[in-house]
Amino acid sequence: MSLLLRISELLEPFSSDPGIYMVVLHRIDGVPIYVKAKRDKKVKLTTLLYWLEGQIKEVLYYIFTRNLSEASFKFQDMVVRMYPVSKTLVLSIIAKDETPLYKLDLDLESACREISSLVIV
Amino acid sequence: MRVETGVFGLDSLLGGGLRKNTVTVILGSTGTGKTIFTLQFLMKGLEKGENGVYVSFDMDEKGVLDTALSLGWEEVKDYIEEERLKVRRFFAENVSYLNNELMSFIMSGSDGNSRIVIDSFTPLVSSLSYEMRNDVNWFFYKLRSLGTTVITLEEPLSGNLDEPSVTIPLFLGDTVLQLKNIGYGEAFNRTLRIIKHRGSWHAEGVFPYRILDGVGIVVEGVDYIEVRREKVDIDSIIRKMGVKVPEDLYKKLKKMCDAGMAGTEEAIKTILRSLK
Repeated sequence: MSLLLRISELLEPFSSDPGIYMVVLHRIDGVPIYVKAKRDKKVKLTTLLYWLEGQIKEVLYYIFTRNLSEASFKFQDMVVRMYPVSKTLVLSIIAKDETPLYKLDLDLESACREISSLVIV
Repeated sequence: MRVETGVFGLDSLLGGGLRKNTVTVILGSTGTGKTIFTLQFLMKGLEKGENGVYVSFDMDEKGVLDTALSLGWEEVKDYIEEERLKVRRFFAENVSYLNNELMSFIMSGSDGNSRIVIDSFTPLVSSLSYEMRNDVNWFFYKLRSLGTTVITLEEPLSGNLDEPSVTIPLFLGDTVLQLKNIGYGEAFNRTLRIIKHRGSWHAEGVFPYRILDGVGIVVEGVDYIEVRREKVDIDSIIRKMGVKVPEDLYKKLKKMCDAGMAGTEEAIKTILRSLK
């Protein structure tokens, strides 16, 4: 099974959560390696995706130099949570502001660990 | 008609391979494996009894042979000796793409079904301006008549792709593949992206690849694409939506279903809703 398929299997369950709009695995240069977005006409995710691509390198720098376990950004009624996966990858979750992400945190951290073990060669 | 690239895992992402008598541009910075890609492309053709032409600006015949041998492709030596693979080093300061010597060399090894490689095209077009677009167009036109061509193009380390020396070949090429190497040594360190593939379906996304002794470039992701393919029953959707679809549109939608790309069903529903 290819790496992309393994990653998609690991991340698929998060994107089916009703409170989550988008799950993205970004590479350090801003390239999205995996994207799963919900079709919701009320939510304009494209702008956010552009913003994310431009910020990834900077955010990863802060995450690693300050040893952060995650970084969060709020945009109107949305929240962007970023979890470091490896030195080149970061997992971003874009969710409704009121979504209780703490319930997902353990699963997300576990997924990040699994992806990390797959990508570090 | 398709031409196998010789790169493991890539043909399925290109809908069966490169289209015959087209020009493919491989864009990538130093160390991404562009030269290995071109050698794999040539080797595949030579294995099948086709002829190959290799134009280089930094390697002579010995250099090409050494690169091939380092990957374990010893049969290259025989192909060169049998003159089925013609290799020539040109010096960029003495040649342009309109040069007779260059064109004569390519023509001497081509029979309309040959595989042609120019590695790299960048020295030929480094001083290119937008006014010279027609010249490159003419050159590509000639190449198409001689065989299936792969040219490599240096991606500036600055990442600036706005220069005419980059944009013109990308615009005029039939297929553009971008190779990236971010240099951190993880699984997504090297990735391939299909920017365009005229006249054909192609997979979208970023696909990791590795360079392995003996086989060269191996691209991952075919199974991921297969899993994402959608099986869509167009007749059932039309029935459910109760729409009358003109025959020419029906043919187009049917073709779309046969391709089975991700998002097909949603796209069809959007189109049918517009008919209501």
